Amino acid sequence: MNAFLSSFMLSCQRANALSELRTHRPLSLTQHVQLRLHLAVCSACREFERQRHILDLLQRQHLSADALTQDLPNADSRDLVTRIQQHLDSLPPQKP
Amino acid sequence: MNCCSVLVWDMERGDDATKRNDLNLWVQQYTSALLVHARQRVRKKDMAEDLVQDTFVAAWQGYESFRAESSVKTWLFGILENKIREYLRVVMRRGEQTEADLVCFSEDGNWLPEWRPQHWSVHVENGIVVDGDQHLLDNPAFLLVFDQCLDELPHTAAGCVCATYQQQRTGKEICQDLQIQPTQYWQLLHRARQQLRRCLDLHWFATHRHEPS
Repeated sequence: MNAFLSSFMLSCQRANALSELRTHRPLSLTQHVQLRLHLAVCSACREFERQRHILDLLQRQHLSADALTQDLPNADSRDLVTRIQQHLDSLPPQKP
Repeated sequence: MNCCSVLVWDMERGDDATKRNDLNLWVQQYTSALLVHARQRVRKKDMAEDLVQDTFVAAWQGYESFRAESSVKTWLFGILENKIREYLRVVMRRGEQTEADLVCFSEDGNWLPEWRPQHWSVHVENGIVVDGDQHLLDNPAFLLVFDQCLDELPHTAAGCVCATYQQQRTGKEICQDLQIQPTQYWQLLHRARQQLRRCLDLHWFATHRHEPS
């Protein structure tokens, strides 16, 4: 029984791979049960699942297009404007 | 004969001056907007700046092909978008060969000590990450750390993360766009996640772990 159980129990690495897999396709029933079982006994992997969710929310909210448009320091683009203008000035006239 | 060639020469020179004038104006007007867009897509500051510069060089070279019926801004953004795609595709191809896998687990499949998830003292309320009684993303000190951690991602992972979280596109579309296989895409997202998690843990959560909340 013990041997059977331990062959059924996943390592953290395997559980991690399954939980990753789950984000892009449904798990088989066995995989699902295996992952549930592992999470039931492993606090590190439970915390990982929580952190994954937290990171997902943070990235989605922080990286959304509107969030980013506000925070560009003006000085950044002023330097760049000068740099680009100098670069363009150094280009020779083009033959038509 | 002579006067004609002088005339042609003069027109060419006149065109060149107009062109320089236009370009100069456009650089002043649109650099900032283009840079914001480039930074959203590629994250790396240096790279974003180079892409904006390349955009103007391309605009310089293709000046004659610009037709006034489309707006300058639309035209420039179109060029930039192409430059970004080109860049990301190259990065993906190169990254596949050069980036080593992250190793987070020991050989027997346990978390390596430095990767083992430690408790984060925040919780989620209605889809918002809350730290004590404050939204975590409203805390400027956290944002600073978060941005630094995002900036430290490898180019490949950063490209995938930006595409995934900003543009709200499906994995399939992103793979087509970046010309990568779905497995590589998922690996890169996975990698980004582990690396971000570790970075935030080291630079934020570890230092806030012992404070009473």
